[in-house]
Amino acid sequence: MDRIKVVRWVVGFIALGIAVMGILFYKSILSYLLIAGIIAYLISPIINYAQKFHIPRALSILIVYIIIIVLIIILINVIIPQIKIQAEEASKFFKQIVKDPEAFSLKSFGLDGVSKFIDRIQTRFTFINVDEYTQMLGEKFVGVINAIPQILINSLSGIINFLAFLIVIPFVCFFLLKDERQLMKTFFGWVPNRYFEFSIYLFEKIEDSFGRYLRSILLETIIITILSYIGLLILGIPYALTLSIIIGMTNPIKFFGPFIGFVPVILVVLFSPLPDIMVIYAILMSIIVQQIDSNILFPSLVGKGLGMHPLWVLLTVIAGGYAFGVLGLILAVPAVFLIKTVVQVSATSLKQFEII
Amino acid sequence: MKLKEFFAPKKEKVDEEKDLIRFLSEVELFENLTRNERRNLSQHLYERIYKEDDIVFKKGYPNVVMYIVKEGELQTFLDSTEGESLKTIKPADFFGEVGLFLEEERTATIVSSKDSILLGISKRDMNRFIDEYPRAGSKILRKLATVLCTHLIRTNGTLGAKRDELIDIKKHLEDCESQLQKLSDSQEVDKEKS
Repeated sequence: MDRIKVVRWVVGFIALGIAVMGILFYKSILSYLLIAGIIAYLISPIINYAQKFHIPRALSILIVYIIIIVLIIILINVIIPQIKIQAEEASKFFKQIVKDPEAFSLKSFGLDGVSKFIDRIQTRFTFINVDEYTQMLGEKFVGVINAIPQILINSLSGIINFLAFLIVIPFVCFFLLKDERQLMKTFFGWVPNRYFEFSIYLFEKIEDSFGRYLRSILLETIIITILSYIGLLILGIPYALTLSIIIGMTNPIKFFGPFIGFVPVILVVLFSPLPDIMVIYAILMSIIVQQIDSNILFPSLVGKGLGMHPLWVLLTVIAGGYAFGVLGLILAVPAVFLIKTVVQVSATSLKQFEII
Repeated sequence: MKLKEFFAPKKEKVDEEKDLIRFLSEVELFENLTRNERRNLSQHLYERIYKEDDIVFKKGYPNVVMYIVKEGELQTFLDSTEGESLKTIKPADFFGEVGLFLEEERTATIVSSKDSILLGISKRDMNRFIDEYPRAGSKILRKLATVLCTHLIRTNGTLGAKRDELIDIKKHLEDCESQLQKLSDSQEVDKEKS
């Protein structure tokens, strides 16, 4: 009896060790797997729909891939030139400032009082040179701006990672999609009989709430992007496409997203030759889009919503931002929602299945 | 390795799948389905192995999965597993179909009486399959209705038989009662006489 127990412990320990080593070994690609999983999950309804018409899964996946690649190429051809123009204009703007040798000198603003004040300080405390400090700060700022291309080149490893990402993810995605049912069979095959029905129940409940949420966020993003693009085009604000993509991408961030996404719009309006009153119109447009989103899109796509108190959502977004930066802002609410769903479903059904 | 080999599934897997598809044609519920429909359905089936005396599910559990018996034998119990088995489930039979239509809990306990292999399909997958392949779905539903009607007729039959039995018992009891009454009456008369 005791010997069996010891053997069990040893076997369990070895299994745990192998699992930990496996996780450590595959650690660097776990994020790829996660992202590929999410993408596969978002695409899978299309593939399943195509299967209805006897189209082989592999073929329909390839078709979807080709469509996505074409879309990306179109987007790149439209966006990159715009971004290039924008970047050139921005650099012109900064160069103009830097041409002036005393650009960052407080004296250059031509304010008599300030200049006299600085002179007075410098005669009293000869070791303080206020002007030098401000000029130094300004030069540092310009230095950072000028260094951006260098930073991009220096992060070559980042680019290589990105390339690996671009190659690996479609591959992983392909097999996840093609063998979707096989993978699910294997996964649920590991579950002991006692927990089989519970695991299926839990999986389906999560898919019904969280999965629906995930899929509808994607649709929401696309629709919001298109709506804001139309709005910006009507207002005649430049870089409408880039700006609307930013608005769409930040939209999933609860509460703060619309504001963050709208900052670039205000900046563009203020820096462009457009009259400043356009800012008000742009804000009005944003409010209209937001109202369409929260009153029509979200209820019809996500349904009854997250079931989380607004205060809780707000705190989750802030905490996510503190802990994981921009990614945290976007992912905190879905992650917490997922955990909440698991806990909620388990709490009711574990008893029904007599597991606890 | 050629690209085709890389994408093609392994031979054992293919044989397994063929076996499964062949087996499905023996199941009453799926006997009208075409080969292709059966293959699509088989994608959703989870194979589960139960040892003797394993409990598949108990009365009161949520309705999640419907099972088809591939091999082995199972017993149905209404209340506890100690009572008499209500029905023996044999290969190619299925159970848990009530869950497809009703949100109610399991109405019986199922225990395997021999080592068994079951094919489980989740209620949601089954409903989705019926929605996605309406032609196959209507065949399954019609077959299911036939099976359920047969069950109903059989149950009505047994219920009728039981009712007749009950009526007989009731008559018998009434006879007994009247005889007892007569007996006690005669005893009273005897007492008064004495």
